[in-house]
Amino acid sequence: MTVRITNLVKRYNELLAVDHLTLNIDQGEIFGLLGPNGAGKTSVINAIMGLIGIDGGEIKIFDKSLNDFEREIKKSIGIVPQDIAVFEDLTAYENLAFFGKLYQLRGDLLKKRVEEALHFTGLWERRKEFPKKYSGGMKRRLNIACALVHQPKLIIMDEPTVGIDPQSRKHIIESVKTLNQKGSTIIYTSHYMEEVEELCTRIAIMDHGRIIALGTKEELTSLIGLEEKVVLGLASVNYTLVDKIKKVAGVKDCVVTDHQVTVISERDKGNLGRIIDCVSDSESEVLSIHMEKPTLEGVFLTLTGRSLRD
Amino acid sequence: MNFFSIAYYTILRNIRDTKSLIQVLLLPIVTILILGTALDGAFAPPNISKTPVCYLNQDSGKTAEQFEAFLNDVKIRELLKLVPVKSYEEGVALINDRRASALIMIPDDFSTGLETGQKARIHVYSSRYGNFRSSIVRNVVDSFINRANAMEAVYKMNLEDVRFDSAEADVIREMPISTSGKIPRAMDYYAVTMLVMIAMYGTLYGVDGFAEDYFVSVGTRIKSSPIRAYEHYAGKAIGVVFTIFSQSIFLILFSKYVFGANWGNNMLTILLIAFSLSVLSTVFGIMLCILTWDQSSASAIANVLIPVFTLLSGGYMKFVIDNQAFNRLRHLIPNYLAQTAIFNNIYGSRTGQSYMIVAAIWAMTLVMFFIAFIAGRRRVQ
Ligand SMILES: Nc1ncnc2c1ncn2[C@@H]1O[C@H](COP(=O)(O)OP(=O)(O)OP(=O)(O)O)[C@@H](O)[C@H]1O
Ligand SMILES: [Mg+2]
Repeated sequence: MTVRITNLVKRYNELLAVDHLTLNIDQGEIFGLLGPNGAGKTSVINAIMGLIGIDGGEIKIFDKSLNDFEREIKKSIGIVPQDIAVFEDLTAYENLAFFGKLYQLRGDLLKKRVEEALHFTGLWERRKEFPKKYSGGMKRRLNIACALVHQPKLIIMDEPTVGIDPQSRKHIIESVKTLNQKGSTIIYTSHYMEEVEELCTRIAIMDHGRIIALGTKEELTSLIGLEEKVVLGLASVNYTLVDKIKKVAGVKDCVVTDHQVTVISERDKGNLGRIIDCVSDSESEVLSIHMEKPTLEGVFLTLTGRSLRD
Repeated sequence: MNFFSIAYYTILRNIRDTKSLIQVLLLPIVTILILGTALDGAFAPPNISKTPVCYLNQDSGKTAEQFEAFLNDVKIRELLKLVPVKSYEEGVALINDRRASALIMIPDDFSTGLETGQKARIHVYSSRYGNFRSSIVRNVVDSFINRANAMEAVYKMNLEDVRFDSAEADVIREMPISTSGKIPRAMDYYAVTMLVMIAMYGTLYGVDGFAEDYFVSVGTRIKSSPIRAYEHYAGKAIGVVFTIFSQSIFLILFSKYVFGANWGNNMLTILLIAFSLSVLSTVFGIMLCILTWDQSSASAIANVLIPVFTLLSGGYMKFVIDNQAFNRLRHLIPNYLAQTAIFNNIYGSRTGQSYMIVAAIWAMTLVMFFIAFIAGRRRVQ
């Protein structure tokens, strides 16, 4: 087992950021942590890296307790922090060399590893430039390269694709796959469900510091696979309407966002007509009707009553 | 040696930060140049008013006579205003009334003592206030004694008697307060205060170096690596101290060779003082950072405190305030301590005091280190 987290608790003063979280990650996985802003993803990662004190629970990595073997464990982990963590006043090459040295790499081996990491992230041609001159996507790639110099067994990527162009995003997704094929275990956090769906062998959906669902993509979507989702665009929405819809036979839940009403109901109940009746009864008007297949977004919505992205 | 890598890259990055570097070095150089030339008049000896001194001669021998003649020399009279007194008590009373800065007393056995090769002493009693003035008196007396000793040696070797008058010119030149001698010119003065100022501005390097690891994401990456915390901080601190110290050395050399500023003969002690101050400002920066827990507040505080320190220590403009509380408080300002140590080292003979001050600077550094250490432990959750 590469990562074994048992009953992890992390508080920031009154705020319970991680709430008795238990999680096991196997060797060779690309494990996805999916959750909205503030769900506690970064807190979990910082706890794994020993960067923050924890208020309860136990963390074991490579079957060793983080408490007792912190330095040894850290040698085999590479981290891609959510905020870009490179020195602006060192060139790309120097950045990699610096971080390589922190992992005891020296001389020819250091040179070789730095070169490999720069080639891998497509930055070799621009190795002599300072990150200030890089585009957002190149900075993100450098942020990843710095985590790879020492060829870690476990790579933790905290939202590695935030705010970048589709081309760089694609490049990063492909490199994650390659790294995994070369044998690294990967923990990947994101609030882009498309990325997580495409990459991850298993996914944990986090909210309010807890894991609310865990499994493969198929397992997760089948959670809501027995349900239908109808999204109605309305001219106006009021709460008596929501209450009325909730009372229609077969409807399990009804959620309002702006001028949209999302209705989740048991499959094949044939209650769409009755729902639309409710709308015209309350003197509103249906502007659009949209039926959705189950997705992770839908899983999240079903489980929490909220949308994944704000 | 991980901390060596950290120190190396810290220095490399500080050197690359040319904007700060130019600011750090250009500011003092320009200040030395402008104030050093504009205010030169303020430092010239004519501005020193005569120092009032009581004089009591209880000896009637030959050497005492010579000394009296020496004191009545025109050049000496430019510096000292002699007030003959009849007793020790009268002299002390005048000093207490601040009507005299010192009492020069020649005991009755002075001439015989000197002639028979025994101990001979001229006593100088000075006021606790106005150290500068009593040092003039002490220096005048010292230079006479040096002469007298030399004459005595010559006499004993049976050579021709060296007449005191003929040596007059020499005596004056040797005196620490003559124009070409040891009183600092404005240039020399500002070279010292500006050195102290930039060493203190090193605090900002301390703030930045530390803040980077605590408040910025690169710190996350460094702390995720297997490096030990002490290696990390030792490396960082060594890099920062080295940066500040090299800037200090640059300023010393530049002012010495380009402006011809007087740094005295004991360069090693001056380097020791500059080094101690570099360590102090590094730790001061770290402490500010931990206490405020915010980089911009820490920088802002440093940016206010250091000019104020410089000002109060007379770094921009030499001034004397006759207020005991203020003068005592000044001794808590690192700038003032370091300036005093350097001036002592260049212009005074009391190197012992310089080392005392160096010890005080280190003591202050240690206190700040402990404050930072204790506050730091409480910060980390
Ligand atoms: N240092 C801190 N001090 C106080 N509260 C914090 C701190 N770090 C995080 N929090 C809070 O803890 C909760 C979890 O934060 P965390 O950064 O782990 O979430 P996240 O899932 O990574 O979110 P995001 O998607 O925005 O990165 C949030 O409510 C956040 O405001
Ligand atoms: Mg986060």
